Amino acid sequence: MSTLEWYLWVAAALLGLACVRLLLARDPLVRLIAINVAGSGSLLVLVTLAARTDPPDPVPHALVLTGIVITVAFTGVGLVLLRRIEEAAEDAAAETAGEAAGAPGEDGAAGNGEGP
Amino acid sequence: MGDDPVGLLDVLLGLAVVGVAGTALTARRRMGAVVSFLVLGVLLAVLWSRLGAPDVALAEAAIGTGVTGALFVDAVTRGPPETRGAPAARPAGPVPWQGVRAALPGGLAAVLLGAGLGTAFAGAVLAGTAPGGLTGQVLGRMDAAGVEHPVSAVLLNFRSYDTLLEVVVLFVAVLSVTATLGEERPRHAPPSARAATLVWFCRVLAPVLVLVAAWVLLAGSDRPGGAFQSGAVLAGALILMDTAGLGPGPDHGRLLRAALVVGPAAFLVVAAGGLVVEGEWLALDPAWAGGVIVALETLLALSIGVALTVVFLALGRGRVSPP
Amino acid sequence: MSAGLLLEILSAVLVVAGAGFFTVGTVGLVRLPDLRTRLHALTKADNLGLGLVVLGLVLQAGSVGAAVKLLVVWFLAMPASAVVAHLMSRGGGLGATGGAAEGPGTPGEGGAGGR
Repeated sequence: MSTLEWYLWVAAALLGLACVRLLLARDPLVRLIAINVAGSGSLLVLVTLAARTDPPDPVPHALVLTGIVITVAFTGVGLVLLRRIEEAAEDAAAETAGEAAGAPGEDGAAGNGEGP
Repeated sequence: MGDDPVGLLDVLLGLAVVGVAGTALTARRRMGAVVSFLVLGVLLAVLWSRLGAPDVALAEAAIGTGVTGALFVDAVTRGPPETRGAPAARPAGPVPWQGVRAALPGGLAAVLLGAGLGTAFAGAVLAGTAPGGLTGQVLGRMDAAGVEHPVSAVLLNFRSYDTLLEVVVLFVAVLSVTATLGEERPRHAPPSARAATLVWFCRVLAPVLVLVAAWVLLAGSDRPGGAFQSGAVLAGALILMDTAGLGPGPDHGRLLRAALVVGPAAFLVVAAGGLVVEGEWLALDPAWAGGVIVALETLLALSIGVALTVVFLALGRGRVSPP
Repeated sequence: MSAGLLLEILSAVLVVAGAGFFTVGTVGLVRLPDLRTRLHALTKADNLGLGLVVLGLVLQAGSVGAAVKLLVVWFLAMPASAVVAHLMSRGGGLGATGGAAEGPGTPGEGGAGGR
């Protein structure tokens, strides 16, 4: 097996592992990590194919650079959304805890349909 | 490299990468997964160097591991404590059969998918379709490129349309992130008072990092480097200053907005300039291509650094005066 | 024995010794019981390991510029690890402000300075 073929198998392993984990994991953070790993696998394919010539082909390298930046962009968005979801859950939990401990006469706490 | 039989270093490196990726994906608590992910990033940087891609290795170390790692760690430490605390009790016995049985379908699917993809990839290489790639074409046009490093030439001259759209993608990411800003959230564990050591360290190191960023930017002309790696180092400097309490605050909103916009705007100006002067969108006359590329890269590095910092800050900080 | 061969052997010995120190530091990380003892093992062994690896590579560097850049990597990694160890042992660890976000500084400069 040549070096390049070996790395292609490594990339396939990364992709297989990460895609399955992406579909089966429950925690959104693990899914984000899985997307990153799958991305790295596909970038590995590109760089390996670029290494077939000497000096290495610069076009796939440029594509991989672009890919890394875009990966960090959507990972950042994903993490911020994850934090917002968790914060909303925390706020909801704090509200119900507050309501349970608050005065019983607070019927209007829900407040729907009170106004026009 | 294509025909050499695989050596010990490559085998070990490949196995290490797959092993650490497996650890990152199957860790039982978040912090373990994130730390494994950081290690994976470092190993990948070594892997890119081994495959003759130093630009990609720089970008992976700075952006893929540095900034993404900071984002993940920040998200985990701000998350609910029960997700990152001690893992749940394992079932008794030397081999956790329940765990193995539960993981079996997923593992089988991963093996099948990996084997299928591997056969497909290896078949493509062995068939040897167009092994020359585009190397010859790129190297043949380097004298009209304006820079001496082929990857920089491809990024900013031959395929500058891709780079323009990439910068816009980053910009859109910043917009979507700042659209969700809320009030400032305290961390779950009470933060210790800002250590004097950390503040001193950041004061000393931030100028050094800015210098390194400038060097990486200017080195991109004739050796690996460039705007993206430089922007990531700049983002690292800003994030570091933020942890010491010296970073951009709510009253720096206007400055941040300006820095964010100047990169894509300059790129659009260059593109339109090409249209006006040469008759083609994004065309660069070889006479002043070099100067234009360097100036553009500087502004791009600034914008990229600020964009990555704003995404990091939006994870938990309060209003960063959204654009 | 020519000077070139001697230099190569010396550089190989230094790099392998550095790798040995890294291994010792990792064994300490895994086997020691407490945060502070682990930090102790890590900072000392890893700094020295990095220094030996860098020195071994400096001997093989093509130019003075490349050698200086390698040394800069070492000189930046040392205070970074010292500050992180200090912050972590101060009662930080998970959840403190300073300890977690130290990431972007070191890999970026380590990657850039290694040219």
